[in-house]
Amino acid sequence: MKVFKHGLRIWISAASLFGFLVGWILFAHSNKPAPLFQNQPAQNAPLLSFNNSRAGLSSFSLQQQSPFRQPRLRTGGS
Amino acid sequence: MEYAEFRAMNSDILLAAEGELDRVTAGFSHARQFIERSEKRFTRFSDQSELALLNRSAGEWFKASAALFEVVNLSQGLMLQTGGLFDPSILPALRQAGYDQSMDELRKKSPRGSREPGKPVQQDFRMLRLDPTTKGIWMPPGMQIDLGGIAKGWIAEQAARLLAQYASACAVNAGGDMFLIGLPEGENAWHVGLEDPLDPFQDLTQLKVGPGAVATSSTVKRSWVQDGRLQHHLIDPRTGRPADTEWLSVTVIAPHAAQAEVFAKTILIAGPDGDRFVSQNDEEMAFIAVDKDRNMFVSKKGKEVIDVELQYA
Repeated sequence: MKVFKHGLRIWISAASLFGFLVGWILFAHSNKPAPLFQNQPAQNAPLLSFNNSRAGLSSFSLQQQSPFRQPRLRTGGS
Repeated sequence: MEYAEFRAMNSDILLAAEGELDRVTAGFSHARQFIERSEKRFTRFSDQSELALLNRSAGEWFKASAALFEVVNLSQGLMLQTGGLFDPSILPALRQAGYDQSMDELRKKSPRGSREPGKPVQQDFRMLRLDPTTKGIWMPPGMQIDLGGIAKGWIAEQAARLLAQYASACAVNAGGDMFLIGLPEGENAWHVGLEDPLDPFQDLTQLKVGPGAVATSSTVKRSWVQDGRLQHHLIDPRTGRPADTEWLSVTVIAPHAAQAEVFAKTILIAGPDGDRFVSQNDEEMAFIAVDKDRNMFVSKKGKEVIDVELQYA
């Protein structure tokens, strides 16, 4: 009985250590999780303020900014 | 969203698509091949392009490919819609202004030597004849056409339609002329930065646009110095010279990319009077013009796509 208890303790210890090491290896080789907060460049688009209007058009000048979220699709002329 | 970037048509090309990575990658490859093949067909900077062959065939019937025929046909329709302010037959005037090499080459060689001043466009593009049955094109003797901008818009739209076969949503941006299909997952619009014409590293604002086309024409991007004067590539057919206009850039949102490109150019050349072209099509088009003081002039429908809360004085 004493030998059985001793053997059981060794088996539990070895199994725990083995499981820990396997887990360690698995996590070390898995993909890193995405960060909760991404450090995005402070490229901000200005808000517009109304200046005047002519012939059905409205004129605006720059005022304040709002963050980009989407892919960097930009249009600037060709 | 996956992305692919490369350079073609003397422009930075951005492909964006959502979907399974393998399929999207295949779609990028397919779209890129199409763009590069089309560039060879439409460039005026190669003697071997189909466009160059057409220009050398003025005065006789030319059997065109389906692609060239379609773009020339579109050009003729849009020339009529813009009252002639868009006119592909300005090529001689464009060369006269100094734009006789690709912009990448031209930038290395500025400033340019003296040349004769431009003259109003001599040829009437309406004289060009098309035979849809044989895809035949006949141009009057001496006529030379440039399809640069409209072809770029058309290519962007066709490439996007190809890419859409591999993706749930996609965009093709060819140097500011873009075509958008579907919507990014979880979004109700595409967000497009409107570049500051005086500082290309900054955006003036963001546009929120749905599926369709966005195109910008600018007097700043493709410019060079000749005879001590800054020249640009937007020729006013009425004078045969680079347009003298109040606007630095005009952005048009429209259902089709070729249409957006042509109307952006037209409104820019026409200046503040250019809004009449959009007023006629107000339900389907919007425009935003930027002047030399960075003021933005927005058409009625354009206000709906600017991602800001308008503040009235």
